[in-house]
Amino acid sequence: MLPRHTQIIFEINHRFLHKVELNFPGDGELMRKVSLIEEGPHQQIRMANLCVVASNKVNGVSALHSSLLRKNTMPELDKIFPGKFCNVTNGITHRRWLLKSNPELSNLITEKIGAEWKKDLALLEGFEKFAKDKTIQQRFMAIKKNNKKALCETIKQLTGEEINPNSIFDVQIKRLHMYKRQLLDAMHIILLYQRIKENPKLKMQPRTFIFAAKAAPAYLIAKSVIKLINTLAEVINNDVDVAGRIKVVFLPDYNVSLAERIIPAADVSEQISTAGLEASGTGNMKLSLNGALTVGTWDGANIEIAQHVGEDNIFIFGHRTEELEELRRKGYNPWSYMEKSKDLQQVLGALRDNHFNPSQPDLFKDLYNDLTEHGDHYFYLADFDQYVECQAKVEALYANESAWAEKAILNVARMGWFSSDRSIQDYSDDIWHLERPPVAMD
Amino acid sequence: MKHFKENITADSLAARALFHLKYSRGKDLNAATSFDKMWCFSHAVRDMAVDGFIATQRTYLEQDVRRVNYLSMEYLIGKMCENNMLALGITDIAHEAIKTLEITPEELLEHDVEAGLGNGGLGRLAACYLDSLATKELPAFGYGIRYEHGIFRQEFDNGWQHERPDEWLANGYPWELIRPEYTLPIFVYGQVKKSFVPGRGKVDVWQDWEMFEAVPYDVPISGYGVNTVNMLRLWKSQPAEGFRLDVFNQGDYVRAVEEKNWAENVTKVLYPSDYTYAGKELRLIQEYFLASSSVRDIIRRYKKTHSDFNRFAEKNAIQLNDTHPTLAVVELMRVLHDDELIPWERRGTLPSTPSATPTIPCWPKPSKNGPSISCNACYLVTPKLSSRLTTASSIK
Repeated sequence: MLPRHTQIIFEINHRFLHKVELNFPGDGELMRKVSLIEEGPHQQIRMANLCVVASNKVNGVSALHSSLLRKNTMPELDKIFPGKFCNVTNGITHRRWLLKSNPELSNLITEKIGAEWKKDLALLEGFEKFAKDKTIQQRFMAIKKNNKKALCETIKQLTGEEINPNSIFDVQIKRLHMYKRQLLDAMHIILLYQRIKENPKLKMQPRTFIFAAKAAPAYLIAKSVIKLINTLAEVINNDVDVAGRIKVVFLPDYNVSLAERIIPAADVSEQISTAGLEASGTGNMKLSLNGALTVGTWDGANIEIAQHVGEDNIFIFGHRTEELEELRRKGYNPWSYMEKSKDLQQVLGALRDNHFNPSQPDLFKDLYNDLTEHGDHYFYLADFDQYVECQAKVEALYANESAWAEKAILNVARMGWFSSDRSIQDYSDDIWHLERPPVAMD
Repeated sequence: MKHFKENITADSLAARALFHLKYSRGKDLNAATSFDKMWCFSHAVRDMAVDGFIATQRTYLEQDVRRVNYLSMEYLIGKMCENNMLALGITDIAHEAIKTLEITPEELLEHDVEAGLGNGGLGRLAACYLDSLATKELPAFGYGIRYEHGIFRQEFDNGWQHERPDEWLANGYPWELIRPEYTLPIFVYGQVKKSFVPGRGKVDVWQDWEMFEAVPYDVPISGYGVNTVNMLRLWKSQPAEGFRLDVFNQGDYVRAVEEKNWAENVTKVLYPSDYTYAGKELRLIQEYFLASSSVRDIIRRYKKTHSDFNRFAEKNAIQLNDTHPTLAVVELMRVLHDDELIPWERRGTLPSTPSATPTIPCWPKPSKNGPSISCNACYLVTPKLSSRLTTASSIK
């Protein structure tokens, strides 16, 4: 298709491998690994290798992933090009994700610390001293409530569902993917539902689970997860026994505009990817900046968020990357987690036999099989019990409004570093070396 | 702080919107739909941005600044009207002006068009970065593709996802400026032969290629509270002028129209993520289309103020968002070597000219053969859908 380009790629490869040979004489294994061409019955071009060889710098987009990139993914290229792999952690523009989408909170911040933060998000740290101030806590929670009421309107329009604005708004919004684990969230919902059914008098903090996600059209199992969550919504929202303690909504057609409405209203931010698989994430930053508390794994930028907001102000759970590597090495067996956990047995039983609609008992077999017989590639079962435990802590904290508000305000105040202005400054200083020519109007 | 060429008031902004409604849209307030009102009001706001845009581009040209060129297959910039109002510092004035159009600000802004030219975080990151680059007054050019259909519209039917085509361009997109004068020819297919070229001797010549065109559409990106307005240039494919004349002459009209469709299809649709790109020739053509048009646009701009390539690397940085636009590096080498006649050796080892910096969100993929994934594995992690580093397998 591109004969001249192919020829040039072979030329690049020839010169590159020649240099490698000079620097690492006799290391055939190294040459084979870093070559831009994959040999075999059909020669293939390795775009990633080409990209690394041809670039001055390669960015892994979060501290964890930059390190994994060097250590696990491309150690050979890292050896050949020391210093080429670098890290600039992703960021978000607070103009759209706070100023525009959450004007009430923006005004409160400006009232307390002046307007300079709009140009320099690091100044948000000035808001930290109000975290324990009861009046500010109440105003913060009142603003959150208003945002939640506004989202209730949107939900009503989109799904017809009436939502209680006093419930915890537990939000997972991102592409639908097995590694992002919307299904883990759904399994938690199933467990709560089963507990209510077993004990209809169960006391719990009312919670609304809000999802929005598109699945790639050919990604069948992801589409099954959407069907599952919609089925849970149908069953749970209409079950009189539940009596409003839990509600589930899946908002259709997730896009930037919908995200701008959901994020200011979120109490809980679900960032529960399998450790080692989310390169950075940026929704995690947007939600935390708007005062949602993160329930997250030790993955991507969650780690750096934890470092900035403080580990007391974020709910971290689950196996870490190196622990999962260890599990893989030893041979991960999902059944062993099943045996140990009554909760898991119940939840997976409901999936296997589709307790939500007995007329189609096999509807969610693909999900069940993926988590069990097919080896649970993304470690749902390994992390499930810890996830449930973590969610119980979330519920307990929410009962104490002042304590919750304090942590939420600390999240807002300590997220300044995650402005994309900081990312861009890092890029400019370390990689692009741009100068700033101020523009004059005539 | 932000300066304007004229004093902006609610009245002057409303008058501008009404002017656009009448003379650009051909309607009066009685006939105007809510969309028309959004469209003409957006044009009024865009006018404010365009003043900054022209001043910015002139500054960059006059000062011959070093630029970063951000190449991304995806951008999720979101609705632009309110964001521009905020950046230009005219939110209050604008809300006042909208009332003159007999519509609430909420309803008007609801009709703004969201360009869904991406799948998720990768595209949104690119949009956030453009916003920050403009706000920090840094010389930046975003390059992307103007997909006719962006990410699909999602509907639920009995709880199952159904995909419907996204028709974001159906009524017009008020934030783009078409630039047909910067249209570039794009070449694909064909073969390389050793041929004698006068002055160069026997060299590799790419011939028998097929040609189509890339037309740029520019979206102004306003910095917050500053005069800087950068540009996002989105390319649309179209058949080359007078396409396939030889076929027409033979009277094979249907085949000629088929060829035309082929060229139009290149930017027809955004590929969903988690897609097995392997063997998807159209996806590879898309990546090449972005790479080739952007690289040659960068060179065209450079040559406006330079007569040789000695300072090309000094004046340009190229940032690749993931490895999708990697072919830009190869295209740059091809143009410099084959078109601008710079021998390989003069650039030393190729990679050091200009700094191309891919953003690679990458992870180690659990695999029996050890970690051998490439960056496109970011979107191909599921065992069923994955295929190993085969993006360019059909490149030959």
